[in-house]
Amino acid sequence: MTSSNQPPLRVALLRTEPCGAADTLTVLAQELRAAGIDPVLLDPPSRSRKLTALLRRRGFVESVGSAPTSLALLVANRFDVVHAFTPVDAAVACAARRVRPHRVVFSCLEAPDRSCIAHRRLVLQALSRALEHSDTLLAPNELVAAAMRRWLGVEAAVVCHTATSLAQVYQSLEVAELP
Amino acid sequence: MAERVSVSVVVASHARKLRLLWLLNALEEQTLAEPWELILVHTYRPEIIEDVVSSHPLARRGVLRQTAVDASSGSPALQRNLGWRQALGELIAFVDDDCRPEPVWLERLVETERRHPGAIVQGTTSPDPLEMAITRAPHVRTMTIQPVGPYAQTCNILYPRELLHRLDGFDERAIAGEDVGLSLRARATGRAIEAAPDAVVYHAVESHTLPGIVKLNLKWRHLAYLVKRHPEFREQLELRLFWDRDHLYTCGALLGLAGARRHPLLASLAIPHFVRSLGRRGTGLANRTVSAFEAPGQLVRQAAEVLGLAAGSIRHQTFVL
Repeated sequence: MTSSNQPPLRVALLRTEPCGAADTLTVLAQELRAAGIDPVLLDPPSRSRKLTALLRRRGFVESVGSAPTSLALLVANRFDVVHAFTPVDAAVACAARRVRPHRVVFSCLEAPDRSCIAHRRLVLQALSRALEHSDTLLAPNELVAAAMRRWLGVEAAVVCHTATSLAQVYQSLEVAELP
Repeated sequence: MAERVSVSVVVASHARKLRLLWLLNALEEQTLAEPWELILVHTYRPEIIEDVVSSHPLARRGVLRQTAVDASSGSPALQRNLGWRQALGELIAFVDDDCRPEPVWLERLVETERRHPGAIVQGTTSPDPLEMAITRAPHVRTMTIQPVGPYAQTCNILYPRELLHRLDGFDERAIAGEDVGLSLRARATGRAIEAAPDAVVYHAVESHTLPGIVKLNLKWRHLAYLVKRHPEFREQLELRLFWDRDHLYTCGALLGLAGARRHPLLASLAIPHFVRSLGRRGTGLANRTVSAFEAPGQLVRQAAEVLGLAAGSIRHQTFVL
């Protein structure tokens, strides 16, 4: 646990998906602060419509468009833990630690199924890296954990995504040595 | 139960952990009412097998048996031979580890075989509709087979076990095209290949970088061995020399571009290649524009394949491009 004379854990919450998760993460960040964590919401600048359309046309998953900015932000700043919520973000976080060591937590917020794990370019590659190199895989409930077991072949820890539970996860990671 | 197995599905797998898991999930949904078994011959480390295979419902139900081979010595031919030789079923269905069969796949293959006892049965293979967006990448690897095709690939085919015994299985010296070789030997015995168009397998759609696809396709240089062993296969080749029409046109383009400085008319040899290249993605300005951007990469890719086959031709002392 963090002692009183140690700075709080600095945790980056990567939010690149332009979906409902953004607001959830804002609330989560506020609650984490109250739980003694120093959370930073990493918001890469929103992608232009043209770039998004181009990426879609060429068969890429849209979040690839934010990957260079996310990588730059993770390399430019020091974090103890990076928490990613999409395979591409998790793969970027794993890549960034070649330059800046940090822990990577990857949460699947929705149950994966066959239709969304290799549906666009780079999704499968990002997913494979995220599963292989993340320090911890989290699922918010047993349903998602079961889907991860079935479609990703991994055993994710079921952790309710509240500030208290996540703070414990981050702190347990911090105790373990970095590779 | 072992005595009652009527069909054995044999899968050779290497370095495709997630795809293998998805294949197992698809096989779990098979509707075939008769007892069947799955024999997996793989090159994975024990911890991967623990994660993906041992805990899978098919393994828990006793349907799945697995054999590990050393990654350095494994090959598709060797792994498939190990698989069918330990099979209990009288029928052996082959599917690849980057494929996803429809739930009725096995049922349809077996039905067709029962209608044509002793025949080889080939099903339909299509790019996975769940991965069609990936076909927008410039360099894609997937498979489309309308049965009966000339190559009889193992991604979706069923053989009677007695025929495999008689033919002694796949030729393990073949690094590529071992499935084609087997089907040619089977055809030489007078055995027919029957179509099961509704036994559908979806093949993965994988995008690669240009160096990646060139490296991947280098294995096709070993097709020269196949042509050497089965000269009758030349009937399937373009002008009995070129593996396919793309290779024929690519050779024309290379010749034309190389000779155009001395004899400008030779440049016209490149026209078929570029016409084909520009039509790759269909008609319409947008499609043609994308095709035009991708044309140089396609030429490099095709040229590498042709050069690879030329090298294979020298090695195996038979000429195929």
